[in-house]
Amino acid sequence: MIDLYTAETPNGWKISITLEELAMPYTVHAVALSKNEQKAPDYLKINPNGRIPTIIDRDNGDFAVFESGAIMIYLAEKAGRLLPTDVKGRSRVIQWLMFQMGGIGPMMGQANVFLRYAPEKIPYAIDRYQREVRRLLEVLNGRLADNEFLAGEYSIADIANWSWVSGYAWSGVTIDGLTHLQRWIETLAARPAVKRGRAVPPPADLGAQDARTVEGARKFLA
Amino acid sequence: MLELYHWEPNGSWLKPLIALHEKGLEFRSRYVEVLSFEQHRPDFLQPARETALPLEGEGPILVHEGRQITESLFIMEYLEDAYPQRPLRPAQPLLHARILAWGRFINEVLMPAVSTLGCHAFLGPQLKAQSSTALPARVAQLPSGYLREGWQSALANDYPQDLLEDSRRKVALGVRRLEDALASTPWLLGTSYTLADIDAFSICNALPTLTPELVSANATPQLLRWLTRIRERPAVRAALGTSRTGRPEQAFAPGPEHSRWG
Amino acid sequence: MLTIYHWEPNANSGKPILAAFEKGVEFESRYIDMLAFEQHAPEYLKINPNGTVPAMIHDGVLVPESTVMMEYIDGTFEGPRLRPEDPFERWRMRWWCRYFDQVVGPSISMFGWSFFVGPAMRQRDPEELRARIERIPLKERRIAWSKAIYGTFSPEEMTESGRRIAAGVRELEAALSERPWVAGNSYSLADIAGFNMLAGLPLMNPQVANDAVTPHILEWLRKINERPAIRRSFALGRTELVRRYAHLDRKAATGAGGQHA
Repeated sequence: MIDLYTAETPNGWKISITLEELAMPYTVHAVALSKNEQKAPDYLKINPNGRIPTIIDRDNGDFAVFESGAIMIYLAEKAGRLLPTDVKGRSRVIQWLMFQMGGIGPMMGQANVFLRYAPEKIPYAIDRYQREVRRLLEVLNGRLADNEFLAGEYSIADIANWSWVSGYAWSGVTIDGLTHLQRWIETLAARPAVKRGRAVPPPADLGAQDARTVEGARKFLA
Repeated sequence: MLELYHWEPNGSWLKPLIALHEKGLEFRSRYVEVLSFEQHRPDFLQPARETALPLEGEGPILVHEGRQITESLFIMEYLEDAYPQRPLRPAQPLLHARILAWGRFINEVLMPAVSTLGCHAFLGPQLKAQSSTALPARVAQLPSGYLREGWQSALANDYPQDLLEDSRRKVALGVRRLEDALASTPWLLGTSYTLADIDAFSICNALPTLTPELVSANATPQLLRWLTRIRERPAVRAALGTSRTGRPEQAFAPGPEHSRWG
Repeated sequence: MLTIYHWEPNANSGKPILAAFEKGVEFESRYIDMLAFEQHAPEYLKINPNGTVPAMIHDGVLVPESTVMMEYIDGTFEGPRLRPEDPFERWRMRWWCRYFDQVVGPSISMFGWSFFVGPAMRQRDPEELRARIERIPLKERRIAWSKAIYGTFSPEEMTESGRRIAAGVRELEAALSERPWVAGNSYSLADIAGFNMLAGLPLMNPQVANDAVTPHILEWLRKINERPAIRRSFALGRTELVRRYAHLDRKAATGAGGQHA
């Protein structure tokens, strides 16, 4: 079983969507970011960076994996799907996965911070990150003009990018004129596994899960 | 404190033993001498409504906070509901549905058949060797009709030939289904060991002994590989280690009845 | 997209239907006329190779077994909770669902098939009947259908079924005298399963289930019968069968002694 430590954020959804697409058995431990559970000593033992998501593979000696891109590669290799085995096919997927990990994620993340969360509005910062996000979306749009998916067949590269890009409005960015991107966003949004994974963790249960999550992590690591 | 009443680690008794160890739960083990009919003594446990109506024949009873929980797969589901640590059941409803669907097949088709063959091979002779004169009268008092008949068949060592053949047919069917499922994935639900594996393993562990013509490295390589891997798990070793006879794969008592619809 | 293939909205077919309506899930209803053997037609066997009814498809995936379907519905969709939160009550729900499925349900079906299905089927062409039975995939089902159609359930089998129905009714009456719903304090899948199995019993076997002998069961049936989801379930039926539940309407119970024929 895969134990998934996650919260309602794009990086978390990347993993839950991947698990649903792979139909791989998993359990959910919702980490309450508002209570800083991700910085608890027991959690830092499995993820030294104190972020979500993290997985523990119970079928592999309780192996812990952190960094969402690394988790996606690990799961795809375990299942033998969503990541080609041939050298070039695999490289293409990893290239577009790195594009998300190095570009889309951090830039949209910063855009969100400066637009939505920072105590004061700094126009230079907001403008800088929104422009960069728009530029990255244009790159994706260009790629998707000639390709149904980012790297050949549907892969973890699509899941990784979609989990962030589908929330473009939160970053205050438009996708006007990016018709191929629009098509790709809608195609993935319609996939049942994407819908299911995007709903993890279920928001309503977060309160009840808090105590169990912490208790669960403690008991596991005791 | 959890208490588990169980006999030898085989069949339905083996399931919660494995689950408890896998989840690292502390529990008090209460070994029950099923051959002595200890489980039907009037003072055995406080009477409880559902416990008095066995649905899987002679099986384990979990006692928690004064309540009795029966039916081995449902005991395991209870443990998953009550103790979220070290989960053996995935969050996805579709995969849970697959566990339950396997459970229906295991409990309604495979278990009755394995139980019949096992009682015929081992329980009958064991009871004869025991020659307890009090047992027939106590069996006659059992409220459950099919359980009574199961014990009476064993006491008389009288099993109709067509019942034995039907049982063998069902075991062959079950074995084939498991072999096919395990051909492409290491565990019944895919890449993860879950309740479905514990459920099926507990019934199949005795098959290489009971039906060697159906289950062997030649006939069913995937099934054998899967049985071996499960036996190597520390929790399963611990569960099998609770045996007092040293031969748990010969421990059989009447199990669930065969489906009355044919 | 959720699709449920079903026969009349009672017994096993009624379970996922009622569960879906109680949960508030919209679904596509596909009626399979089992008297016309539509469940063994090639189109249906492509969807469900076992040829059993009901069947459920969600997002292209087959979910088997009516009781399993109910758990799936409750776990998958948003809506009122249909499984108790308390682990013990949840266990008790599962236990009763199994009890209904394994002990009570098949016994009631045996009567239903002997008295209703069998005679209806025997009016058909015998050769066609035989050919259709041969097409049934599962051996157990072929035997069961043969028995139902040709009336070859033995007297012993019928007596045993009668005994089990009576025993099940006694157990359920005792349980419902201790708590409002089968599993405990809340309405659950066990009530949905029980209602679908037993709603016709006061009509079919009034000596076994009536206000004098089993007042708690009757009250429980009436309570469930009033639920809006039941009305929606009945609308999916095509025969007079579901109109026979009029005996559970409260106005039908008015009159001397609350008894009804």
